[in-house]
Amino acid sequence: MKGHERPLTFLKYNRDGDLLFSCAKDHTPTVWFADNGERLGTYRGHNGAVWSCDVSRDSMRLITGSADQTAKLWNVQTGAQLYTFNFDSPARSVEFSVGDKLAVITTDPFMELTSAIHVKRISRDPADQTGDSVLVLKGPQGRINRAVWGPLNRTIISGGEDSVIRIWDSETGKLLRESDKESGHKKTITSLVKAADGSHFLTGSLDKSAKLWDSRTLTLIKTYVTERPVNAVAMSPLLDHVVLGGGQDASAVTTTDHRAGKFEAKFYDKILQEEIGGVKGHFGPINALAFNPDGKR
Amino acid sequence: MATEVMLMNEIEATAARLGIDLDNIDYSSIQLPPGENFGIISDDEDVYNDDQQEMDSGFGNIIVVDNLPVVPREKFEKLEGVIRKIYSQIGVIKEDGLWMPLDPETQKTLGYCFIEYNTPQEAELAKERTNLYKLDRAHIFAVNMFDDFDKFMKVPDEWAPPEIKPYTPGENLQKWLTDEKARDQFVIRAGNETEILWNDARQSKAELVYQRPYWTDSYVQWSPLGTYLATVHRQGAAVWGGADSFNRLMRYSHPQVKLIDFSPGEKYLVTYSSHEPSNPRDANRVVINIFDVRTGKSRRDFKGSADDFAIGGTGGVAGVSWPIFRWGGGREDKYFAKLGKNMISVYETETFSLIDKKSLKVENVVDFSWSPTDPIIALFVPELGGGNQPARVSLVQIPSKEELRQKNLFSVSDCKMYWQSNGDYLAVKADRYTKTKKSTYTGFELFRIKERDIPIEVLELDNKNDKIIAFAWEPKGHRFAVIHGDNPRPDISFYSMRTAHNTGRVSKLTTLKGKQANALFWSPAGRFIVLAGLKGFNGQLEFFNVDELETMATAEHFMATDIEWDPTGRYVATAVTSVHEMENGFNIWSFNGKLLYRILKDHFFQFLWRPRPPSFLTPEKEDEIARNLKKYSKKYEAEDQDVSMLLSEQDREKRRMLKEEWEKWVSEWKRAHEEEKMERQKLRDGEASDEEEEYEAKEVEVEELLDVSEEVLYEEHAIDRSSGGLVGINIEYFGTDDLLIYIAERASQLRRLQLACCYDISNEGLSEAVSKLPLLEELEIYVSHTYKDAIEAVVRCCPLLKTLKYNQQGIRDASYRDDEEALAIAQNMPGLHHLRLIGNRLTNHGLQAILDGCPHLESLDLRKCFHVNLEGDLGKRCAQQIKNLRRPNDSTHDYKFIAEVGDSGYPFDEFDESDLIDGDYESMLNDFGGYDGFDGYDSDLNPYWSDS
Repeated sequence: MKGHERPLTFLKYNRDGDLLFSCAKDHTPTVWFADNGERLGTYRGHNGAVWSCDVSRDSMRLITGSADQTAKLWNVQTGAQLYTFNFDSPARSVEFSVGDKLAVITTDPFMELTSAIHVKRISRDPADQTGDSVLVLKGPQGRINRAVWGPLNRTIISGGEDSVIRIWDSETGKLLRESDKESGHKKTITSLVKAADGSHFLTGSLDKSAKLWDSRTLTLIKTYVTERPVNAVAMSPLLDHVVLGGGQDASAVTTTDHRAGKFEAKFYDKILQEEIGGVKGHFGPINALAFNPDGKR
Repeated sequence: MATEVMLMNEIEATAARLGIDLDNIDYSSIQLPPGENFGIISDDEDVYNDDQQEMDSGFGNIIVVDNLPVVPREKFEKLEGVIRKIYSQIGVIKEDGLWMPLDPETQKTLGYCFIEYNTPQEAELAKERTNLYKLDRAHIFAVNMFDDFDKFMKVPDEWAPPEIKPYTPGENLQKWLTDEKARDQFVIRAGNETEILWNDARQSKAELVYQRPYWTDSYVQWSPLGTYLATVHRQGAAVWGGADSFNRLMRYSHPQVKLIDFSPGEKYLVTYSSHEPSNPRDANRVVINIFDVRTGKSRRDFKGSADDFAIGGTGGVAGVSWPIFRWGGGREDKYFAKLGKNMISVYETETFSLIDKKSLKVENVVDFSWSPTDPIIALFVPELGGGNQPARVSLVQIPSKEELRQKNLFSVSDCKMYWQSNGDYLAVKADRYTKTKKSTYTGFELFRIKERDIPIEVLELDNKNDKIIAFAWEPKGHRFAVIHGDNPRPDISFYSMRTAHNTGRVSKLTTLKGKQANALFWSPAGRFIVLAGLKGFNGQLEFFNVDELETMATAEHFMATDIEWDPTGRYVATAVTSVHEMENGFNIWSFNGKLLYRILKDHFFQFLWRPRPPSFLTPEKEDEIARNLKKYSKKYEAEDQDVSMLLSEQDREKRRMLKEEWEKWVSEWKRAHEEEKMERQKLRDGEASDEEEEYEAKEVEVEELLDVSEEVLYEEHAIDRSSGGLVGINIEYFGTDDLLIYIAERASQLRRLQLACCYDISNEGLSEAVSKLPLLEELEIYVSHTYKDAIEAVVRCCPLLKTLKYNQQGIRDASYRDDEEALAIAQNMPGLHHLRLIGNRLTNHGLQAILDGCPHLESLDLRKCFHVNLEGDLGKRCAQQIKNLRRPNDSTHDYKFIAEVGDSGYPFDEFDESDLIDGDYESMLNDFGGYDGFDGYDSDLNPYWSDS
């Protein structure tokens, strides 16, 4: 699929797997028919790179987070902007809760501001929507690259530049669990993706590994070791496979040979932690990965 | 010390126990109470002691100049002025650093003075430069270090016999050679760690022997026979070794040492340092020490300006080419030599002085090289006087200094000399100008050193304008390889110094065209070579068998910078060192190019195999072993088998554990998910649908296969998921070469392989696949074309094969008789227990051979083999020898496939419904394209599917 003029940043399938939403460093999130790659529409209104998005269970609402210091709600079908959450720093990660009544949005450290995790209430009727935060979490050093909801929306799981995975109480904002130095990542966590049922999640890190964790207890279950910094991770909903996408930052690529950056997606056996295959052909670092919910694509 | 050093991991453990975060400690801020070391003995103290010895008196920077004129007071200042002038040219004399004492009675000088420099180096240099300096005829300076006076004064007047120390047996420094598994060791340096590891190729891993952080300040090096590991430090070099660990055996004090080199027999160690001059106009000062490795005593030192050591070399770049001293005379370490201006200085180690007390004079010599085995020097003198005097290569015998052979070379621009490792041959690569002098071309002069009069042969490449990229002799052999050509993909040629008729002529064996290679790495045992494309070729590897002139494997170690064969020629290590930022680490390959394992380490600096001393076996014994290799290898093959069984067993067990563990998690998650169902529903305002949240999706039902390709995917997928643990597999109708090879690669533990109606699988494909399946016990082939070649491959590659079912469609026409397959089986499969040959074309001749060749045969199925006749004696013999015999005309009711075709080759000619069961009939009607299921026959062949 071609369409974005700048590198992709995030991919998201809707629940039925028939629509694929893509975010990129150009300012325009795009929706595609998943089966034939035909472009269905774009969401115009952001004024900066768009870092992530999420689509509601009924495929009606889209939320996007952008470097233009806003997160926006969209009507999936019409492409109309419904609401804009304004922040004082770039919005990085967005996710709807189970039931789509809440959204968790992270903001980057900017000027004197530290990074933060914001919880917003999402109104069923856009007319009732407000920008008030239900909860704001602060503390982690550096950027928070991803924050997602834990089981039953009771917790929020976050990971980022300080390489620590944290589980927060989404009611009180209390820090419940933290990954320890021993088992945790050694470098920036670049990506975090949940299993379909939210029971476990996979994190990818610049320390050249990906780790699988229990969402409730933050127990480390598996570690997948690769040769490259991991930029993006995905889990097959169908098979016991995980996919790691990697390569260093484009700015750090020193040679012209694409293999030098090893821009491959690597498939691992989720249980045995063994590499089972790779997909070559990327000419740049892999920044985003997603499995179709049917698990076949 | 070595054993008392607290290891980093102990420190970490202690820190963890005390709750200290090591990462946040500023180590330099730690102050220990005076006199207390908390049991941590500092390495520095050792260093201090060393330094102390050096600087003991503190007068190392003072020299004494003797034989000065004795002058009265009036001339004192004049003399002092002269001396000051001489000595301040060499270094900076300290303030009040020149002291010329006076005789208190006569008020005349005493004929000597003391000069104090800022540094000992300057003092040393002043001594070197001005000793024997002629001030005038009567006054020749005698310059000594002040410390030397002290030293010599201390010599007792009476000789006392040296104290004889009781003999303490040393450790067995060669113990690593007695490893039961006959493994080799190697040393690696990555980050701050230096590790010595066993190459455990059988288990596809490396096993740690010894590890030490900050072991060396710059690099490590094995001694040439592998006895010692040398480390390089600020204060000097050290060697390490021992039976089970690596203890420090000896130290060699040499401040600021930069480079070290062992003599080939590892008796001596040469150390080198270079020091910045205090006067920037001067060249660097070079200090070289030669130590006796075992006693640690310095045998000889050489000091001087860098210019004295930088003659010749390549390109005339001001710098020292290491090693400065090249060792000759083989492993006895008898001679060493250094190139000088118009001379080669050859020393012998009896006295550590020049042979005949003088150097070998050779006008304009620019390069020389020792024979690796004999005391012969090959030297090169370039063209002089614009071509009036030709360039010359000559061979000189040491110690007689007699010229053995000389060859004049015309219009030569450059020369390189390559000795073969046994000293049998010398190749001189001469680059010559073309007539116009605009370009050069290359030829080789090949010297046969061991033959009478040392005949020389000239070799030019087929295209003599080709640039030579690399040249390498086969170790201990008579062949050499050359990479040549100007193309981006050069050619590689192999030559032999012998021809078929052994007439002593060089002959070309082959030329490989257009290779991505720029470096050659022969196995130390010869015969095999790695053609490597380093640098611009990014690490292409081709493993080539020069005996057979065939490529064994091609591979890639992306960005590889270093390649080294192990000393036995069994394994090859390729490494990416820290010259690249990424990919650091090393790969271990078998000699034939199979990747055994791969270890990644950031900041990877060095990989070195531990050398082995030459074998103690006599050449006769080695010959005997080579001849009876089968006998000797049996034991090891059995061991290999055991290990591989054990490994697969362990592997299976590990997989089972991992799966079980995972199942536990999954059931836990399922339970929690179920428990939370109602709450989730509430959060979704009552919407109940959880249905898509199926994380466990192992049972992939592929009920209706739409086309062949999808089936293939399924198969590969099955292999992926079972990855090597698979022990049996059936492939029907859709198999291709690629699929089969894929399966073989993924499932090396396969015991049973069944192919049915796989018309797309070729002889080659099957051959390659079985070559990857050493554990194969059963091979079944149904209705296929003939696989004679593959049967032979099976024989070679699958020693465990007990059951062969090789079924075709029988043809009654006598013109289809053919015993070839039967003979192949008979000759090569003595271990066979069960043989099924439905529809084979063999005759009584073939059957007889099988009965003779396969004594263990218990069952033999000859149904539809219309060309054997069991009426006569052969039939009787069959009945006696074979427990379970099926005769040509027995019913094939229980056989699933078509067992017979008519004379035309078309299966319907004598179509008998009883030959088929329903599924086959359908699939046959579908033209074998759309077979729709596995079920329905011989279900006991399929137990391996049931759990995957």
